[in-house]
Amino acid sequence: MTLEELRNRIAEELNADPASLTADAGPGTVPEWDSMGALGIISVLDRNMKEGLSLEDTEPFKSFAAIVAFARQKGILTD
Amino acid sequence: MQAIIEALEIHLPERIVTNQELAERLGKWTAEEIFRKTGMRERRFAAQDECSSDLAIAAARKLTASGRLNPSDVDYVLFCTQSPDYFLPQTAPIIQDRLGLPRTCGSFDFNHGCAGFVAGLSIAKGLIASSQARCVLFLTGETYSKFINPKDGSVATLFGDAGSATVVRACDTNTPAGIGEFVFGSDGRGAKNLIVPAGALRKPRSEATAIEATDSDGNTRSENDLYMNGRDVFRFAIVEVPKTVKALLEKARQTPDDIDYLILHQANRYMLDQLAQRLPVPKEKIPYEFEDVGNTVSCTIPITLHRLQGRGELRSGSRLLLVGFGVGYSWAACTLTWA
Repeated sequence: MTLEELRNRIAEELNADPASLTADAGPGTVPEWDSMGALGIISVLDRNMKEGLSLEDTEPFKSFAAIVAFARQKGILTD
Repeated sequence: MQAIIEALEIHLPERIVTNQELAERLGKWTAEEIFRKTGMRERRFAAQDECSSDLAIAAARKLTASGRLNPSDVDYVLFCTQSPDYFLPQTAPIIQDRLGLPRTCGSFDFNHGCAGFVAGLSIAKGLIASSQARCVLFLTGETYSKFINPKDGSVATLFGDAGSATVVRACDTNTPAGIGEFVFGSDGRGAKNLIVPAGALRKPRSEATAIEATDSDGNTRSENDLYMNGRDVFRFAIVEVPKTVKALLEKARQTPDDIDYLILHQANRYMLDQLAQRLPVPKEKIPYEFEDVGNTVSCTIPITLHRLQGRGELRSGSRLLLVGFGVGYSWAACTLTWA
């Protein structure tokens, strides 16, 4: 998955504009990134991990940059 | 000795709490937004003087009134609740007395939450398989509403109160029907994520525990109230439930094609939608039964069974897989062939 694909998938899950998901975007700046939105983000990441999430994964993501860093660490991102 | 579910009833309290009522009180979402988020339109809350035992006893009385249970047959009564009438005594002997069950029957309560119905089937099966009992009356009753701060939308929109009564009876081992294999799990690291922090002995209620605070999502509660970290509970469920289903199918030597219904704890629509995408059975085999009752904790699976049976969708020989999961964390799954 590319960075743009990840951005689009999370935007779709949040029902938000992909352009709003800048690196520092987070629950405080994207209105759709509420408690339900946080579940959607977890779901997108889980579905794109070969082994799925574990209970040790994912502290609350405070920004889109943190999601990207996690996705890179877990091999979700290919670019 | 095989153990079968011979009869099952449920009871809901009278008071209906609609999304419209919650929307007006919470001022955060419209009624339709609450429905979109949770899949629930209404839930039932017990009256102030109505306890979980009252709900469970009302369900059991439907069994006796209809002739599906002769009280004198019962030689064990089990009661699963997280909202007992008292710290002590346990509630099961009170139920024994109020239902007129024999004084020779064994009884105990257990506190198990969302996995409680499956755990109770395990206990009932064990009592029967070891010849300690032949007719177990297994009740569940929950009044989470009494733990909910009305200003906390994260839980007020989800949970409802209910009771259930199930007759588990010994049966000829030649029958294909019955309670089958089990898989269990526990992970106390999740204890803090679905909890009423104060009120028992670790942290007794005090003026300090009654102080309310509002979180970043605008939900207000005190330590006397139910708290749920929905994000972590969700993550637990999507990690553990698919693994549990896979392990149970292997243990029972069944394939997904063998299953007529996979009945999950009815947490909320989003949870079930996400689990359905990760489970090996088609979505149409996963019933959703919470729109008018909410998440009723240990009562969700019996409510689902009762409604499937009421609609004629459960027949003798129907093959089921039940999965309870949640508070604790704890989870339990079993196979069941309907009698």
